[in-house]
Amino acid sequence: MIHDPMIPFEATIRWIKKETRDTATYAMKIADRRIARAYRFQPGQFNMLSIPGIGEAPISISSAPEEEEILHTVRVAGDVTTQLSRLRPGDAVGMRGPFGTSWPLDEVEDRDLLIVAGGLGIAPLRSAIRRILHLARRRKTASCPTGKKFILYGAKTPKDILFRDEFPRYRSAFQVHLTVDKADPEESWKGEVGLIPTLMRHVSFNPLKSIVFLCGPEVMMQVFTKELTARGVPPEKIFVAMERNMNCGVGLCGHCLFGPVFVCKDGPIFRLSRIVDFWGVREI
Amino acid sequence: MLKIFVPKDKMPRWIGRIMDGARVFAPVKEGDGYRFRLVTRPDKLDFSYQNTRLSPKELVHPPAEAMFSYSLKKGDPKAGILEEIPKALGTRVVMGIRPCDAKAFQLVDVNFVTDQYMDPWWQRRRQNTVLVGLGCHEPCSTCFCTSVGSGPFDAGALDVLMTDLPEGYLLEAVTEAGRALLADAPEGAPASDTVLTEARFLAQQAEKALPRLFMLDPLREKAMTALFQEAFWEEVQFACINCGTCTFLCPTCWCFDIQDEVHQQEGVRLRLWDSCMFPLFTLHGSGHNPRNQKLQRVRQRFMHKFKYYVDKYGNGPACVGCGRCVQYCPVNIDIRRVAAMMTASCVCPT
Repeated sequence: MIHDPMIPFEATIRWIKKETRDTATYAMKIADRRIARAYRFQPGQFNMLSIPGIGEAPISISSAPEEEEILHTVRVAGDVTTQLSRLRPGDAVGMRGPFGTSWPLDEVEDRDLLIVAGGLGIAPLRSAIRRILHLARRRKTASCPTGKKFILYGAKTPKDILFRDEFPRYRSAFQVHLTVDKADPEESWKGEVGLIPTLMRHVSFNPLKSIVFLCGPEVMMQVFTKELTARGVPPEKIFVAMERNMNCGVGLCGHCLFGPVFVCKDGPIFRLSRIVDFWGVREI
Repeated sequence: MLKIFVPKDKMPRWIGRIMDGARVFAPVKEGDGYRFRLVTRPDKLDFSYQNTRLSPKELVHPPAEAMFSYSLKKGDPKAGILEEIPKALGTRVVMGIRPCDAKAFQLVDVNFVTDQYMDPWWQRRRQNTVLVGLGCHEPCSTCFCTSVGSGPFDAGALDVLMTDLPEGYLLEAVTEAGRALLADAPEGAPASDTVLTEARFLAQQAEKALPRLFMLDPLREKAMTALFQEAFWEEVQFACINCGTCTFLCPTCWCFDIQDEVHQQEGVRLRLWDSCMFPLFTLHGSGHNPRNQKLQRVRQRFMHKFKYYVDKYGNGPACVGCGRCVQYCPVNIDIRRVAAMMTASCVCPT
């Protein structure tokens, strides 16, 4: 990294796309050419977005590394994200990163790939999905996953489904299954209703020759990993993305300490076998 | 290594010469306690203290540090761009630090200086600081350094170890930086055998006064989740009021928070000590809080010191036995008792 990881560099908002009532995607471009050229990230990593005078928040990158702009899909939750939602194209924000671990795309090879997302958890996975689509298009057979590929995605209501317009494109390489916790009466939702594990019955894969990328609320991931291990997927091939309060992003400040690991530096994406001993214990 | 003896009346002259080349920090009496402060006159040094109330971690990791400044003025081409605020990172000598507090720096080094990332300020302050330690021959009633793998005359984290003898000080160089400091001390004479024997006797006496209260091996052996789910946490946390005094005084508690503060149109990005005792410490933007109960937070502090740290670094525990948290806890939670509970190899039936 050519840049001090604690000092934000300037990024300009190119465009903003409203995804749902509380979530929007911000496309950003790093202002300094030299920094932009040196900036490299892997799908699953995150940036600290910084608004001077307000603060910083860790936000995962939702675009693929090949893409021109760096995308962040953000739900309004705290001070920084509220302020972010007031900005317009052309405005500048501070950015530092990329931080954390990434989805192990090179481990997929010919395994069946399950991408499982709950709610906003689709954001860091979108980066991996688009990377795979890119590899498939380029027919880079050496690095492109060749097994069956699934996307299982659950949202609260049909209105909360993110990137809905992109799913037709995803279907060119993936089997996509959607579910909602609650169907809206006014919308004619014809799909599945129920929690994500209900989608498992549509999916036929080889548990011993598969790999799972999982991101969503902690409870959902807890339930789902149990389901997966019951089916025989080894914890070495399950990857979960954790969430914790973070301040520095580089494993110094202590906020994200999760047992003996730092979520910002040793994670946020963990091989389940690394944390399996204490992953099920609440309140660590 | 070099060992010299400096009579008490000649100490100020030696310290004065150190002050010519470096900033000297030493315990100074403030109110009814002591604290490490910048000292500019050699006669101001006071080694008659047992230990400072605040640990000297503030010398390397200040409680509030202004990291960057920025302007928010409209039209300013540099608006919103963070600039590093210059910090005093030059050569320093810390005189009279207790061996336990010096060891704390060593324990925290592994967090701030890693292969992947490093805190430039911690690292440079540590590099440019020479630690002249003062052995304890009168440990406090709350001290337990021998129980956590250190001792009242442990020179392991020091550059120079001083022993207070009736007529003067025995100064023993431990590192090269310490040797350089002693090489330039014409006030001293090579330490005689009598002096060395006297010092060794004092050290032995002090160690005898500090019996081992618990064994450390069980910390490594016990399973983390089993320890986490012990019933005794309920008892430990009962009186706690989550005031954070323990984390504030602790020389090995390093957690910090990053905050922006704006006055008019000038802002600073600050780094402030934070505490795992506070509910906000782990609160997510979404409202979810993994440790929103008092018990969870109390357990976190002890588990981090005595288990997570030990497992993560194969070292530790992250406690030096200074006893500050025991002395100043308003509800008398005693870390020695908690450590004894955590390390007990047999849990007796209740």
